[in-house]
Amino acid sequence: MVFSSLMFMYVFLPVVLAFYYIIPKKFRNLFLLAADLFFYGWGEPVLVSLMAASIVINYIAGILISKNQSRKKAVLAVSIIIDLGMLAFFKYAGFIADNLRIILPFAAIPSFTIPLPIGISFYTFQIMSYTIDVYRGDTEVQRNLIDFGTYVSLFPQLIAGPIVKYRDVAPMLKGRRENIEMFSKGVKLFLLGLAKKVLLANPLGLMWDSLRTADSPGSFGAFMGILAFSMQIYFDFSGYSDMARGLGNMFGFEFFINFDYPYISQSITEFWRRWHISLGTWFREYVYIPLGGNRKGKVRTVINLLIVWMLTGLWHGASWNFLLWGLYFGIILVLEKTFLLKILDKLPKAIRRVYSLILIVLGWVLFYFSDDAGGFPALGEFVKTLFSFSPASSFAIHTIVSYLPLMAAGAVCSTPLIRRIYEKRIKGRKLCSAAEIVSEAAVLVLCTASLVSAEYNPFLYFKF
Amino acid sequence: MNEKKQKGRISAVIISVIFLAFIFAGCLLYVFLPKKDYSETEKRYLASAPSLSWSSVKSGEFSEDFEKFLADQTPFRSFFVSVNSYFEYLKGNNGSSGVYLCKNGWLIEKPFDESNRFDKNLKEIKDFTEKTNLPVTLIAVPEKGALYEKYLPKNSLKFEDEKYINTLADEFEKSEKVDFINLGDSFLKSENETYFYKTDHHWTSDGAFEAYRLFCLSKGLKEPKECDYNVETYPGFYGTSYSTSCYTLTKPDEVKIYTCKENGGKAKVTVTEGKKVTESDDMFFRNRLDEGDKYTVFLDGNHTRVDVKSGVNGKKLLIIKDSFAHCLAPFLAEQYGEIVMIDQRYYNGSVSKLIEEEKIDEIAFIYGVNTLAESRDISLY
Repeated sequence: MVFSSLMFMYVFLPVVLAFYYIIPKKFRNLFLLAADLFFYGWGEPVLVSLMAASIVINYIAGILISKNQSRKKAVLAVSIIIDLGMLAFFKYAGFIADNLRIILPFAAIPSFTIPLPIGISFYTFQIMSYTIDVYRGDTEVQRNLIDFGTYVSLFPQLIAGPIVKYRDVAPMLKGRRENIEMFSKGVKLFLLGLAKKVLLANPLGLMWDSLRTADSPGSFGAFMGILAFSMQIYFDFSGYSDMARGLGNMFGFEFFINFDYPYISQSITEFWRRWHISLGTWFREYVYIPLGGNRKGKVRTVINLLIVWMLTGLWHGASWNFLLWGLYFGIILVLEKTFLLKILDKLPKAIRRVYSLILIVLGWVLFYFSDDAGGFPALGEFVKTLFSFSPASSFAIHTIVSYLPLMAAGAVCSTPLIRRIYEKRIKGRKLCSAAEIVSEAAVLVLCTASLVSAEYNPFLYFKF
Repeated sequence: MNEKKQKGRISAVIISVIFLAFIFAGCLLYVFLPKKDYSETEKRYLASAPSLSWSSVKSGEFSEDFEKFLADQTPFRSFFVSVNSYFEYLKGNNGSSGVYLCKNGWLIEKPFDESNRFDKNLKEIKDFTEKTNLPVTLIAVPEKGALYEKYLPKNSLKFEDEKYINTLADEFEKSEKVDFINLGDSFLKSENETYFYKTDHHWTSDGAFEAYRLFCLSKGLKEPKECDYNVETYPGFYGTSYSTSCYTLTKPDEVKIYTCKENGGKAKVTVTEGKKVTESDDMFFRNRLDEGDKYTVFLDGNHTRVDVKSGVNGKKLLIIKDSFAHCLAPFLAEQYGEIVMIDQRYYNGSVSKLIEEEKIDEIAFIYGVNTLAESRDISLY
């Protein structure tokens, strides 16, 4: 189920909220777990069993690790192999087979497609954070299967993050206090995310689609198109994270921020501190630092960085372009670390921002054209158009002009401008409540109107 | 400080209550409001509740259908749909649904896509006319937007109808067999505001009458005059441009029916739809005027085959057409004792066989320019 759907907003959420607050506190985790499984099963009725199996396996692994100090390494290894094995099988088997087939001895491997279970990349990483932390002694073992299941499958962040580490949630699983301030904060965050998703990301996606498939968009059309996609993916994903955090608040959970205005970054290093923060910290904590981080000399640091970034790329999908996309950022980060940052520091802010944005947007070109979207041939075609300096067709111009106000709104919302105005000029003033209520009502009506009318409502990060 | 805290609490309560009231009201209305089968505004059947079965759940079909069901049965759906339309409009995305909201209450469809089948369809008609011995008439109706460009919003796509009509004129100018009734001068260059409905993509009876006048002049027949007709007017027509765009503040059109003073529009009409055959003794199906799509008053709307027997003479005309013909055919029935009208979107029999069987004397192609440019159904074997 997606948050920005009528089913979620007008059926699932009211029913779950009502029961959650009616039943006694001690049953709330059990009820949430049931709701989570329904939420997941709604879109993935068969593979919900796969997630259930993951939960049970890692629950047992956690207990075994804590009980048996001498064999804990082996237990951890087994659990990680199972977790990554499932991820590899469901996400990468087809891709690996496709590439092996090119090599002669494997030419006979038949072609197959395995359906990707929704959110598997997210919940696998969450689960692994638990077993690894138990192994390291960074967190207590969880003996209550229901509480553990609630953590893994918690519907707000189940299918598209943020990737919440077990130790950050553990205290809330036992003793969280829901209250009205937190609930209203949750409502605001949820609506902010909903607006980003429905009012910005969806129409920006339509713009990108229509320019991408236009007969002759020209350089300008292609450029505006990839700009629209850059905004779409940001509002789509950060909107989802906001909704997740808001929903968490409504049920008494507090999750860390996942996006912090990434498009105002002044370097790629900064961009990755602001974009999908929970994924970056996960990789740093569970891959980069265990590999030795930057403590083993310059060469190893570079190698470690490149490994982490290739994995980050691959995490996004089983396709070569994602690997390249990761490598692309890995290389830029290495360059920035070795000398570029020092040069950038001397340049004016504006230039640093333009530098970062250009690299980010070019990155999205690489990112968009996965095998599903036409792969390298389509990528080549697009890049050719982008740098062809050919004029845009009248259709492309018409599309761009139609979406210009939306692009402008998207550009403004990519910066903290509105937030600053809100905090400086509105918050705490007399009109604040009125302004908030009016925006709340507007978002509810406009988003419902859009959901009722529109068929276009994909979640980009569902694929991951 | 305490007062401030208190204030914050009140505002938190208000924000939460509004949100909860909204989603709970929605939830309850979904459950208790009666479900609708048909939307008058959008002129389409609405989704009903999907049936629950393991196979439909397993394939994910159930959850998809359920979301469609919710979307279609949303309380105050028409309100939300039109809010969305006007919001798009305010954002500068006029035409997002495929229809522009224009000046003076006009709703105008975007021009058809440029990548088209025009050449192929033209060749199909040319090849056909070369094979047959019968006289052929071709009428191509331009799109609404080509006539009323001055009302279009500033940022709108260009209409190319004139180009296509000129191509047809060049093609058939010297042809002995094909009589191309060129509507270009009369339609594209006229200031007449009544040739098309403001809220529907079809032409009005006025538009069809003008085409009929040109038809008669071209055939050397007596020029028809408006005073030869009784004109009935029916208000309250919201056409398809209205339904697809949901710009619901637009005013409705009126439908005019021209009945020939001589015979009062009476003719024997046979509608064939598969094996179902319905007969009527009037070309105007006035009971259709109570429905949403009032354009179906003309020969009952889209059907595979419609036969009109006026009996004015022994001449028999075959019309191969799209829906523009529905409004024109009643006029043509004054010149042809019998008309057989087929729609190739539904009719897949052989045309030459039909001509032979029915002993056809003349053939007329009546199409909108957009159909000629886009249709994949025109096949004349």
